[in-house]
Amino acid sequence: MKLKEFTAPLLFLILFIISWDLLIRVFDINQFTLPAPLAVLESIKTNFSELLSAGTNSFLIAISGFILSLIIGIIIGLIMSQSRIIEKSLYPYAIFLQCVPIVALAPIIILWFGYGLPAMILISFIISLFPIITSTVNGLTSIKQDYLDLMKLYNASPKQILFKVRFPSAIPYIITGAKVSAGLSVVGAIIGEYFAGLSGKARGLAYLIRSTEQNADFPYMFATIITAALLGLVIFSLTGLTSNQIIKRWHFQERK
Amino acid sequence: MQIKVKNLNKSFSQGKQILKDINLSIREGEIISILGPSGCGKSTLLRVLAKLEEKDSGEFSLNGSMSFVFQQSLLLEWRTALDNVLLPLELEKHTNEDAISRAKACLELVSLGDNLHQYPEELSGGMQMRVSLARALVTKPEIMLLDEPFAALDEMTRERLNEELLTLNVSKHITLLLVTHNIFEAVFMSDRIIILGEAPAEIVNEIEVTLPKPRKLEHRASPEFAELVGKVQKALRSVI
Repeated sequence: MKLKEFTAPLLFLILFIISWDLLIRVFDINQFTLPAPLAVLESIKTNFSELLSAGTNSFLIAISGFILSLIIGIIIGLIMSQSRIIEKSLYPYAIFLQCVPIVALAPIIILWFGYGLPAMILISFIISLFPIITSTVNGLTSIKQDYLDLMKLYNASPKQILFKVRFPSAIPYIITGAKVSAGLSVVGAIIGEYFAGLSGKARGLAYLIRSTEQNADFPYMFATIITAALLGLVIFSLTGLTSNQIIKRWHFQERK
Repeated sequence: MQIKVKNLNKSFSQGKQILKDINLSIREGEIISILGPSGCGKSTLLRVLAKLEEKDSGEFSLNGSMSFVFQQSLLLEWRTALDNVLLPLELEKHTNEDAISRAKACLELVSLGDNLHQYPEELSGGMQMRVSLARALVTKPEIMLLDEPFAALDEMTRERLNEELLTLNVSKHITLLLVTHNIFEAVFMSDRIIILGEAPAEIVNEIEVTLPKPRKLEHRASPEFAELVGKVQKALRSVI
């Protein structure tokens, strides 16, 4: 990324922090409603190691959920793309997963899997699954008829068509879906922790948000929220970097 | 006869007839161009012969192995030129050294011996079309069906590729059946030009091209060439 691309977001951040600080000073807002940026920064400094450890725990949940969604999502997409009947039969259930609020599903997941890591990963997985399925199906089915004709001329088997043409041409679409899922996996990880991980030993960001709220340590709470946002940014950037490498290495054309 | 078509009929699913009583006889090594108004069924005829579409009635036979060249190069963007040419052999499970040297030889034949490891995005439109030709040649076809293969290219590239095809026809003795809408290309390339009428397409005229062989680009400036172009234009005008 060039320096120029950094300048605009950086300027916006500085402007945002100044406005935030001014807002507190001008309207004399107390720190229980909105802590000052400097207080949040101070809290980040003081609690850095705890934030880092909680961030790492949440990261591990999110990345596990994300990778799982990538594997299972692609497999489901591959199955769904095999025929219109299968696609039509399974699609409503994929939408169901997307539409049912995860907070409504979480208690059932805890009932089945108990409190702890598997339930947290599962919640992150469910929330990030849908974009992978839709992008895989979309990629596998939007291939031009001419390519299929070409394969027909060479008497290619359905398996050869899938692995030589359909799947490689779906990769740019899957990458687009993966970028959406990457951000969602963090949301899933934190929701998962809220429901299934607060009592565990490996405490993540949700635990910190809850405990700082209870202790009325609002600068620390804001510091945790900022860490959660940064975590999303890290996973999104990692996915972006990996996808760019894949696109460059195999000369795919990126689909927006 | 290498290609024989007898009373071939084809309609689309909506019932609209597209090919009507097509009869054709093409000798081994002959180059035949098919000209006709847009949408008359030229491409459909080729697609039926390639079994990409079903015929309704009639008969046809292609005596020899066939390959098909589409209007677009249809290269796989994640494969190098060499890997694209290897694709048909890979699908037949030939991936040994022999297959690789065959693919390389085909790319050299279309003057891309130095571009084996380049990806389609790194090649010009003309070069991509050449890779597509090499892919069609790698299966050692005796018949090549070409569906407006150079329509998307500029005139200079088209002329060069026309010459290359003529060379291939002579060196490999491949029978070529070419669908085009370019009269100059048809006259320059062909032994015979077949004119189809408006859909449903019927053969309305057949013009023998009497230009000497081997053809060179200079022939395009000859009075005979101009006369033949005029004759084809007149024949086409009568059906449009």
